Amino acid sequence: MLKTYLSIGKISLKSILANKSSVVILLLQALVPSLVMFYLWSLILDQGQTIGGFSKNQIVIYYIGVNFINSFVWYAVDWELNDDIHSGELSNIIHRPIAIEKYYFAKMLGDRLANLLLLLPILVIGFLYILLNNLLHVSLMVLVEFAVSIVLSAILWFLFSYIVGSVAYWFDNLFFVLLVKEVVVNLLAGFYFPLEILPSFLVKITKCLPFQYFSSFPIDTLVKGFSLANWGKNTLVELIWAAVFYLMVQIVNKKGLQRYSDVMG
Amino acid sequence: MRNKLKLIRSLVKIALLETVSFRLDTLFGIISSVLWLGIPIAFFKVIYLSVDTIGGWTYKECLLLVGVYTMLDGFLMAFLVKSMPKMENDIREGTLDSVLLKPINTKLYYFFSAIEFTQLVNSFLGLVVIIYACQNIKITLVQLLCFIFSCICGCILYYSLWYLWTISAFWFPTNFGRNDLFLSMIQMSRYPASIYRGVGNIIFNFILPFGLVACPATIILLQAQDWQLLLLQLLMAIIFIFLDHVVWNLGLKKYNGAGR
Repeated sequence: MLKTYLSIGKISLKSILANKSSVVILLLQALVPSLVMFYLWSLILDQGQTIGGFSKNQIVIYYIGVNFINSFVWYAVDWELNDDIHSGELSNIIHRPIAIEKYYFAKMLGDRLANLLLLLPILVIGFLYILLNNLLHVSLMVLVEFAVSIVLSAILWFLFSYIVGSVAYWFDNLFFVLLVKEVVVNLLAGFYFPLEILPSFLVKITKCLPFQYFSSFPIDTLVKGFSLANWGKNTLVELIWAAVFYLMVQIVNKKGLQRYSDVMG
Repeated sequence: MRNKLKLIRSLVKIALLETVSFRLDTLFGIISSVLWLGIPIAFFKVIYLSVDTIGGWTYKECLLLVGVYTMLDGFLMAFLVKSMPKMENDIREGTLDSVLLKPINTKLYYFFSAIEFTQLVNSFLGLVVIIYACQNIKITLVQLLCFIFSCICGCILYYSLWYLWTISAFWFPTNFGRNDLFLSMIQMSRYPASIYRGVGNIIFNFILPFGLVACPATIILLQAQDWQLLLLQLLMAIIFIFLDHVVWNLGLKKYNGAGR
């Protein structure tokens, strides 16, 4: 069975790598917003000030980090599910002896792996530059914590997006529903700006929600560094959220498929 | 001309019916408009808690810039947010033939073929922010006319950039979030153009003139005597209209209808 899902992932990976234009788009998507943020924050924090505990270097690395995490973690499974349900394409999947959520997860793995391969040279050069210029002090332990956080955030992101995409079983057109979800999640995950620069009561609210684990938490692990106990506590909460979302995925799958009809979703 | 208008009226009617058919999506479209405007305002508000100016821009001035950007963005998003992905898909899949054969200019067809009316709420909210931010600014009639003219040039640049990016699919077809990239890049237009220095200034104000979409119109309201920027914006708009035309014709020569 594992072989089937590996094949699905492999096809997904190949389809990205086959298209050379994807490389350019992926690079621009990761680099251009980071570059703009570099210009903006260089101007704001040009005299050694800090904002939300971030110095100029830290905030620039933060933005580069969230944009790269975006490339590795944020797979648009909700948009894909929405399209497949409404076009009736989902029938091709449910008629196969595979679980729907595992099918999409395998696709996501292949897709994200392709992104990782494409961006790897830039990542390595960028990381070496940061380390050699002493812009960031990172221990091996922090790197391990960061890697674990990224993997967990990819899983959590997948489960959450899958639930949102499943709303397509019940409603016809979800274009703006998904757009709103994206904007809200981007905001609460710290994609637009670090959550720490918000007023303290808002920071407290965002820390109670699962969205910080999509990008803010992994990148804070790298840039700011947490004590092992603090990181462990946060990771445990993240795992609980993942378990809750997994249960919800099972429920929406069951209920959704009962509503699904073969004729254009 | 009369035939063209008749066709446009029919396309608008279809788009309107489509918008009102999906009530949940329409509701979320309005919510997205509020969020789209609220997030940059919150962003600048939080930053201005720590600094007085960004590149010489005060909070009120940035608010005006966000208002102008949102108004233009909402207006063009209404026409392009669905039609540009559709055009890209047609180029990539080889289904552009059916549009080319229609008795209407292709650009015109795509512009009116999938209007998203909820985005006009965004435009309206942007106008409200402009009026609020202009409360203590004395604006002359000439300034107002120049502002409108600059907004038109900004719209041309916005449209041209998206259009050129979309028709690059003739040479670089990919189903890999081409429009997502544009939507994330166009948001640069809501930051003051003066933040870009050196190479950034050349890239973001000339090669990819995102800095010339909303900034000149805002500056005209703030500094009546700044004519040079308006002329530069006009020049760039003319260059981009020309580029649109040339690149589209080259793309059509390349297009073989086979799909990829």
